[in-house]
Amino acid sequence: MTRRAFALLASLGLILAVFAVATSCGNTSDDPPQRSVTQLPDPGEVIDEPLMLAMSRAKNFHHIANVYLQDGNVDAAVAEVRKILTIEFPAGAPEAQDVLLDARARLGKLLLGQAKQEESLRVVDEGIASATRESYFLANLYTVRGEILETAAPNQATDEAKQQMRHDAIEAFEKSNEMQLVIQRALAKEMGL
Amino acid sequence: MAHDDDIPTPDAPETPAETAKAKAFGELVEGMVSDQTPPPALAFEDRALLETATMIRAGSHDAFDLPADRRNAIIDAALESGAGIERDAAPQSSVADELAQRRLRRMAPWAATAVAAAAAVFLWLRPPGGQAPVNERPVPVAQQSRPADALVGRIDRAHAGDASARIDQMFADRSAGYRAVRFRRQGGDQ
Repeated sequence: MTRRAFALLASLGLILAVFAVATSCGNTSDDPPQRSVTQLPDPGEVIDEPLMLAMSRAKNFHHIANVYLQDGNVDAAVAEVRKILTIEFPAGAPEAQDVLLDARARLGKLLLGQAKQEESLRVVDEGIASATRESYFLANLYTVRGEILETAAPNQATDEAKQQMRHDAIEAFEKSNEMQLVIQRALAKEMGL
Repeated sequence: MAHDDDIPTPDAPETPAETAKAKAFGELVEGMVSDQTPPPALAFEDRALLETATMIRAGSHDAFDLPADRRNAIIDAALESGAGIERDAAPQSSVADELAQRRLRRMAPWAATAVAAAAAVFLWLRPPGGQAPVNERPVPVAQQSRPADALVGRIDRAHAGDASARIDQMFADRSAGYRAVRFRRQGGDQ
């Protein structure tokens, strides 16, 4: 192979490599969401109309539930709070998880007040499972879980079940305290305190 | 009719008259070599001898007895006029052009390789997701979608179910940021 032919082949191969690099470079947003422990997520896009619309609807549902509660209509209030869980927030908006977890915390408290402990625990556990990052709202959800388990423990059939549920309640409270402390330190560090 | 007795024998010693005559002729020849103008009044015999000496000198000596630069210029002019080549023609320029073209053809693949390598390095080093335009100013935090932990703070157990109050607080904060975003898009802060 002559030197010129070799040079042409080498340049062609490098051009193909550049093309391969150009097509492979890009966003890696298809990675599965992972729950971070200490790192706060970076701010996303600017506040836009879809986010404001979703937050407005959640706000209104909460206030409707307040009115129903003033009338003593807990079932209607629960129904309104459930509607918040069906709101479609902009993809990737951090406020979405905060609003939805907070709605689940309120819904769990309302159901606990109606002695619907299993349903309350299920609503809370679904929220915990859906969380992709630690936050005060997730810590609050663990607090509500602890309250549910603490309330439900005496109603268990066996002592072992009671003991296990109390243990789970303590674990939930401790998890909430630990997470709040971590978030508080991270925020203080971010603010330079 | 001339008498043969007037012609001297070859081996006879020179006479003073012959010496003087030879000296005078020598001076004439020196003058001719020095490009001096011969005297206007010369004897017929002397003039004939001088012309003969001139012819001998021209035949035996280098006719182009000229300075080197003058000689070369005459030769070049003769050659160029004979070959029909213009004085400003540069035969070497065609050779130089051909060499340059060969060099360019030889370097072209390597130049393309270098450009491709530089492009590969640039694409590999660039941040994922592309880059924001250079002339786009950074967006203030208050106008960004972000977690509400800093706004809400730690949630006490006594307020675990107060989601309504917290959504009010979040909505008010984000509304202010959204108004600032719309104002900025309309060029309000330029």
